[in-house]
Amino acid sequence: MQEVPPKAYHQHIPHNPDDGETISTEEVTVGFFEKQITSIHNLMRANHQLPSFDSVRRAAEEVDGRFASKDFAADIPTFLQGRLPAYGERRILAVETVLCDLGYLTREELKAGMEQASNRETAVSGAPLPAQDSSYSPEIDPETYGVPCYRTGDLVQVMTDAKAGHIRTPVYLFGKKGTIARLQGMYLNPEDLAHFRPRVVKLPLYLVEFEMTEVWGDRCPPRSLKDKLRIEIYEPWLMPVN
Amino acid sequence: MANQKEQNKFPFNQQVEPSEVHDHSHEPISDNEAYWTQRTRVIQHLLEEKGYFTAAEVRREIEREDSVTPMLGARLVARAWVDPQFKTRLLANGKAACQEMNIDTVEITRLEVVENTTSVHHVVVCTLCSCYPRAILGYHPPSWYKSTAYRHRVVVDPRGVLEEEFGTIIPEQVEVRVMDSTADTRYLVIPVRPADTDGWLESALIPLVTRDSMIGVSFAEMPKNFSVHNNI
Repeated sequence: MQEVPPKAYHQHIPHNPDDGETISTEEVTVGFFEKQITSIHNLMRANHQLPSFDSVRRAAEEVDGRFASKDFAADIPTFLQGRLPAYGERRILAVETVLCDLGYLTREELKAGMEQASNRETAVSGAPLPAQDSSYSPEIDPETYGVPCYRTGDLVQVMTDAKAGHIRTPVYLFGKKGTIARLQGMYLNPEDLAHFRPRVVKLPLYLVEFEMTEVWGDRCPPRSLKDKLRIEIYEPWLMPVN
Repeated sequence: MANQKEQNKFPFNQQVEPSEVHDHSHEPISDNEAYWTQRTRVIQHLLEEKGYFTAAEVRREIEREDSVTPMLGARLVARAWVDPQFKTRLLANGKAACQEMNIDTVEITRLEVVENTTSVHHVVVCTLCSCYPRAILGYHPPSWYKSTAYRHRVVVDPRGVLEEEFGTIIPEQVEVRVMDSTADTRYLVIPVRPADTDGWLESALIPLVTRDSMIGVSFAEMPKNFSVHNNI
């Protein structure tokens, strides 16, 4: 399995604190294709054919980046090029990307399949291939971050620099100061897993509490001056506050 | 059939169109759906041809995922309301407590159950994607939970979002705690047990526990909203 380095068009998940859009609470049922792609993905994960969810998250951010930079090379349909894909559509594009990354499918097969969809018997040439194990089995590094640095009550600050590729700390917390509520445990770095890195670090994961006033400053609504935000953050994203 | 939909916006079988499709009226809905249906079908057929799974396995997986509903979470909450020792175990180790109730949480790495009380109200969001305790509340979170509007707004102004969008007013003296679920833990909220339910059986409490109350955007239903035969 080859590592998938961050793409130039990779887009971190943005956060717009000034978003005033109404939240539609209408109950809607997801379309069948969304259930189908979710089930294919979950089935292949259960069969250990696909690794953790992290790579699909990374791929979804690449889909976002493709649309932002109008890089529609990976067979983005013309009708979609004028808008962003909806949730389920983005999921299809992301799962497809990971299936191609891992060698389960090729772009050529997908293209041919779409072109010949009216007669699926001809969509795949040749005899069926035997199932191959393309799963990803990285080497685990439990040493580098083996001893947690922080204890409950410690003041910490979130790093300010975004790394390239998939990150698991929201951008709205960059540079913000909080308090360690507790250590949640030791978990594999999702940022390594997302890119199929051959070596994955096991990291202390902390529940960190932030005052809403610290996170939002003057933007904090007066009714939330005493409210809190809690989020899990992996140790490399934190630095001590003296 | 459009007229039928207008007459019955929420038919019993819930076969309504996804809202995302409605957001984009410049595209014919049928073409859009047909395209994605075809694209997904091609992925499935190619993988079937290569022997990774069968069509029957995919169909069974869809059925399994459809069978997971917020009822599972409601059972956990109702049990926690009537059994303090179970609640202690649920709060200490969510996955182990689920196992006691024969609820399969194999897909959840770590489950943290948080309790709403008279002093703190938890509300859950995932600002990075749509992390959600799917094995307990259902494989497809509500569309508003996945919306950028909810993900952007609830971390900035949780009281405003709860009041204006969900009609949930959190008393001033209660601390609101927004749980941004972006890493390995999935959160389930135990809502405050409604007043006037003393002595109720666990089975009678279950219908009071709504999906939204377990995300923290609403309270559990009040007993007056339920017919009297639910009571004992």
